[in-house]
Amino acid sequence: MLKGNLTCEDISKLILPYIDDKLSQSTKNRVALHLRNCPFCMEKYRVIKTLFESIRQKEILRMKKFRQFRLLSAFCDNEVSKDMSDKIQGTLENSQTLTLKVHKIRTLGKVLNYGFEKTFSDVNLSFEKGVMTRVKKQGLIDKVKDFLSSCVLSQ
Amino acid sequence: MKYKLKTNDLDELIKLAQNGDMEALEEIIKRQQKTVFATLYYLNASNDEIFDLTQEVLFKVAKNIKKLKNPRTFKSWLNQIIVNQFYDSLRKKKKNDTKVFLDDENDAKNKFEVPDFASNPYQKALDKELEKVIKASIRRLPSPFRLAIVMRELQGLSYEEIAKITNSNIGTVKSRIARARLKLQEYLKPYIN
Repeated sequence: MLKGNLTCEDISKLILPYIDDKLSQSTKNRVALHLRNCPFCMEKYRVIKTLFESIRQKEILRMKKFRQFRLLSAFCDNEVSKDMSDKIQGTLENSQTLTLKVHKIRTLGKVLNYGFEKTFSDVNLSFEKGVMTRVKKQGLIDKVKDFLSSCVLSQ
Repeated sequence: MKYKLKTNDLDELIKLAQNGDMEALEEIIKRQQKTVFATLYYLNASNDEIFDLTQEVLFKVAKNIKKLKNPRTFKSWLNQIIVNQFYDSLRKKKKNDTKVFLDDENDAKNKFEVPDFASNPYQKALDKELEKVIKASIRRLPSPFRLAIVMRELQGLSYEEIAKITNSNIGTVKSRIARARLKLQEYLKPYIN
């Protein structure tokens, strides 16, 4: 199965970098030459390339969806520019799907805040006394330190 | 209110405290303790140390209040102290080779009691369940996402403030908050659909 300078075994190793366009021009040419002359490797190449292409497309779609969600999330937090906010607002009027996404983000916010409030509305804390005692003690310690260092300096 | 001055304005209290007014300082601590406690609670400080960490944060606030240049940035400054304190505790834990984040099962063994508040027993049960689910959901998030969403939803900080506190850029904060929301939408699906 030897074609050109590369063996089918070589092609197995080179096929992924070839698809990813990570090979030097001369190696690329040699792989292409082998593929043209070897139906077995060509078939393998086609299968892998189709698989990779479909993964890549899914990844692109996933990233696109995430970028859209990220923008809507920032929009709900008033963290987009005025222009972008107006643009999103306009799009929302014509898209039920996007409106639902925004609604879900806002509902999540409400649910979280409801939970936060419920958790701590009745918790009684009284750290202030302990903290103030420590602060006063610390103040005294600092004063003593200052006094001692001034004594040392005056000697 | 025990406080002698009739002011509810936090900025004013801060200025008074910076000028040595101890009552104003005490009032600030009193007002901020719940939010500090809540933030640490949701950031997943273990229940053993949550009281110690809260006390430590509040002490640092009291001790360093004079160093705060602009009272308007108090919230952001306070959260910086909380986050630093929280990460310090994580570093110490790692050093001691203990588990950093408690999972829910471990947590349940070591849970402090949150008082009941609603008068209706059915509502009470629902609130309790929801609170439990929210807590578990937030604690399931990876720590950078958790930190970002807690700072945003609980503390209401801007993306810029969160970026500063977490030493990251606004784009990263935007992504972390969005990812946290996606995950939480999944975990809390029955409650938000």
